[in-house]
Amino acid sequence: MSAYIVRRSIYALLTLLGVTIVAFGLLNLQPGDPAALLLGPFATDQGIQALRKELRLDEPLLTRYIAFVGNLFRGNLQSISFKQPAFSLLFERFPATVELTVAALLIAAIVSMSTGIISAVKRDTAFDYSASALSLFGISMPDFWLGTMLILVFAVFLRWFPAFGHGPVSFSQAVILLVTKGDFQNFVKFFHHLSLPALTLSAHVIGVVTRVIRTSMLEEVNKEYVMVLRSKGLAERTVVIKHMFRNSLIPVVTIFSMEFVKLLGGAVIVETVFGWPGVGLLMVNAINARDYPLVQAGIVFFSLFFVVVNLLVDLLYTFLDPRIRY
Amino acid sequence: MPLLEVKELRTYFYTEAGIVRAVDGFSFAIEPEQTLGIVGESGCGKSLTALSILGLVSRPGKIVSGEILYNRQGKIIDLSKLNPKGKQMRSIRGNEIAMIFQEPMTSMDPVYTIGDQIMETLILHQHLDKKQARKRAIEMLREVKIPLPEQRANEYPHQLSGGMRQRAMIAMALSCNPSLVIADEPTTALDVTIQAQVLDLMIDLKAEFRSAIILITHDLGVVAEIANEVVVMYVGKGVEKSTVSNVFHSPKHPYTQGLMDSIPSITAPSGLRPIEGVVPDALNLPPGCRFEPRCPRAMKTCKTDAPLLKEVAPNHWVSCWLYE
Repeated sequence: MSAYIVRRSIYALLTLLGVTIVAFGLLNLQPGDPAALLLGPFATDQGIQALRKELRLDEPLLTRYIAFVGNLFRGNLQSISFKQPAFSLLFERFPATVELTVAALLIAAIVSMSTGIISAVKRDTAFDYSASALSLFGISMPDFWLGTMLILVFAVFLRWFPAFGHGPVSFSQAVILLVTKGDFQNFVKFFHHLSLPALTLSAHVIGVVTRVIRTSMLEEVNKEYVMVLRSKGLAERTVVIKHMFRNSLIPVVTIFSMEFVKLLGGAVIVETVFGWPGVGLLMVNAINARDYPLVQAGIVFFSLFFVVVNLLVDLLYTFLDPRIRY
Repeated sequence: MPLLEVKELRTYFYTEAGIVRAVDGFSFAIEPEQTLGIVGESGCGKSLTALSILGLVSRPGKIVSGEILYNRQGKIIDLSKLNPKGKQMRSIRGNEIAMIFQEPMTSMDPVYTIGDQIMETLILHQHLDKKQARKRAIEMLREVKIPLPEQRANEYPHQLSGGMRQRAMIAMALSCNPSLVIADEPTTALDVTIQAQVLDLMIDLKAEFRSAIILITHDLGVVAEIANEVVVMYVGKGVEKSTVSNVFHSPKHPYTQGLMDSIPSITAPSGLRPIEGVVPDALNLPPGCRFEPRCPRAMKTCKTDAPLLKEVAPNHWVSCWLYE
């Protein structure tokens, strides 16, 4: 097992090295001169040349790549448009994205588990058919449309939720305020702002995960051990949840972890629609501003997450299914 | 007074192609501490009879009529009338009537240890705490002669061989000291040498635990070794019922006679004599005796009228027009 972890960690480093090459290479393959773009249509040739020199765009590719990796490891990558270290910008925005992601996944976990399990147990019933239809709806509905509709209905017409923004405090601040000062108002305000974007974001995950759970559960339904468990006198609920669901978890965990990483990378559209100050929004702005260092830092940062979460999930498999050994 | 009496049990499947009368008026009884063999070809409805007793027939199958009278310490309960998911049925299932299944490789939940799975039954029915249940589970594993039971209890099903798993299944079935064990082809999936070991184990345990056993099998050798009484089943109905020695030494029904002739024997010079023909289509059963199309001694009546089970000699029941 520990040999496996060491081996996987080495692979992870190699993967990240590949990511740096891609992150660096792709942006350099892109047409257009960042210096010219940054300075706008009225820039002089001298100005552009000067900026190219400042950004070291005039040096050979390999030299620039080495400088890039060096800066990356030292955390020195500077954002061009913000004139700040790229990683500190990312860290600053990251908590908001985590809040949104975790909230959306919690909603999705609760809804899709109950719906998926019931769908499988009561397959080919009205419940199952409506759950399937709703999952399809969740999967195929674009975020920007659903988000806009939710804003229209719940913020504009009903005025139950704010249409826009994150609210004054973060989750950790809200909790600290609640515990130390008994400030309930900020706590409520936080969830008030979180509700609509989290709901929008969860729709797709609910759709995907419900279907995976249903399919995965249906694979267990006709297995012989299920009949054996019933013959032991176990309640149907125990058979379904303790045994069948537990056995069907591997694909569910795989999909769920992938959705998690995907959302951590920034729910670009939802953050844009709701003006949520997360990394997704930051990345969109960075791309529009041709802020290459910031984009590159973002790519590497999220790749690191992806690699780590994947490793953790692979380790989790051994706990979920004792037949899996590395 | 019998421990379990099944009367005119009918369990049908309602499929799109039509109604499959898989168990169609099957009756038998078993006394406490006795062993009854139910013999028949695959698909004749013997496993479904077992599932009917435990209330485990699932859609599109359904118990249509008949009685399954279980003697619960002097109180007679009709199991076929209980809610299959209800409390009473569940308190009988696994506790008073336990079942051993055919396929040890797939009969256990792969993600829990052997010990956990035996403990689960004990905690549920005997209301033991975890520590006691574990102790008892290890004891049971020792009873079924699994070496190093403390260690085995912590292992997962895939770490055990087929024979060991079947032993563990037997341990699980016997853990609550049931009054009746239904063993559905318990040795069929095992290697021949392992079969003999498991069979010997069952004979030992039968003496020790004093449970009644319903042994469902197509293997006449297994029945001869362990059972007192035998019911021969053909396409959903019992065709002959008597003691082991009666059925083996003087089979009356042409189907039973055919079965006996088709046992391979080293001494018989002529080799195997199989029963001609095939089992009739379940959706399109013959109107008279179901064995009539294959019967070497079929008569005119057999085509039109179904025979009833009749006692033709003391404690020897046959359903065949030859003995009318």
